[in-house]
Amino acid sequence: MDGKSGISSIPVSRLLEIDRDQDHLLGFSVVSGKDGLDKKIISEEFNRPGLPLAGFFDCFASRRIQILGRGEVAFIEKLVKENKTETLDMFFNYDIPLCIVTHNSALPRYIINKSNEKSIPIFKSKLTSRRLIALISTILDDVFAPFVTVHGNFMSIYNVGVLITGKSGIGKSESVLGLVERGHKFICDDIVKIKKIRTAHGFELKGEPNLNYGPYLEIRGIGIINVSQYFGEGRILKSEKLDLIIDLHEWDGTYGYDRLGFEEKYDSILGIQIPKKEIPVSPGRNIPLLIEVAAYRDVMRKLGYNSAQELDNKIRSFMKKEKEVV
Amino acid sequence: MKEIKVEIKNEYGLHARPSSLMANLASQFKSDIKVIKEDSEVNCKSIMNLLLLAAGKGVILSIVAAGEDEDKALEALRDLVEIRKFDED
Repeated sequence: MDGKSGISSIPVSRLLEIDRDQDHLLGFSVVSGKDGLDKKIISEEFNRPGLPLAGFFDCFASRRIQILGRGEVAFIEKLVKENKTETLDMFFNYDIPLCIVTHNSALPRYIINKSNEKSIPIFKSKLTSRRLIALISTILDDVFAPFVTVHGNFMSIYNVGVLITGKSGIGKSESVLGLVERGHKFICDDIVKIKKIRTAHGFELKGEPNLNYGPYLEIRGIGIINVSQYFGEGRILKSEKLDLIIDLHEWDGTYGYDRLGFEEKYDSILGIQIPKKEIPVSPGRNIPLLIEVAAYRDVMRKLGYNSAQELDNKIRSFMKKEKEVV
Repeated sequence: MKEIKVEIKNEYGLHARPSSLMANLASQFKSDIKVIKEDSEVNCKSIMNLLLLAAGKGVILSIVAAGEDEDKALEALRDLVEIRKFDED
């Protein structure tokens, strides 16, 4: 599958935006080090800096987000109180992207000043360390997931994520319109960002709009329409797991299209095999209906039904019986 | 118009996979091709039609072709059914 792939870094300030978009799920507020908000986070990993604070700086993963829980904060308070600030000074000499204090704990003045001086941002969160790490891991896994962008349309049909590809002008957007009209959900038109997400069972692919400017669809001869205005907000979805690729072809009489549905073809995206159906387009073929049936077939396959197999078994047992009679 | 008789020789008869091979092969020719088993006559270019004949091993089918490439079509179909035995066995 073509497309550009990549992975990025995000500025620290992006975490604040994500928090705001998620209705302050993480409950972040900036404590100090505002000058460092444009620092780059380059890893989805975390560090609990217990050892460095105690003076052991070997293997210190300083480029990771540092989580300061109750234990770390209590230790820092003790160090400041006893005027043993040497390790704290060393700690802040590293190029740390961000420190997050959990439980909304207050930090000593000394640390606040250090962080402002070195432009190392400190956030605080009302959450417990465990909860914060769980939430932010999910968010950062998503942000740092490997991705490709592909040319096509993405729909959710009976909760099956269907990527519709094909040459320009073959009728992808028109098919999408037909599918939305039949009650299915629109995710994006033209360019789809496909991410490889780690799950409990391995990896899966997730498709979402590349740029989230809104659910617009371009239909030749009509122009641009806003799907949510025309069909309702209920027909819009932000993302879906990618389960099936539908490749629209111009009808070619000599091409061997699948006529039984025994064999599956696959396309590989980011190293994951996704079933692919090639559907020939010609006048009189109702493409949205065909795509809907292909998605439904995927649902049935997962439930263990296979019409082609079922018919074949019937014919075989019929022939066997007939033979016995003869 | 020409007619040949072929015998189904593979173990499992004309089930789904052989039907699809036969229909795809027939579709490559311009001639009209029919398959006859006893009193039922079906279109050789349709998988479903062929399947519903339920022709098991040992059944004799008549294949009738009419058109400019009828000889070639019948020769190819005979090859598939009797010589290649649908690439099974």
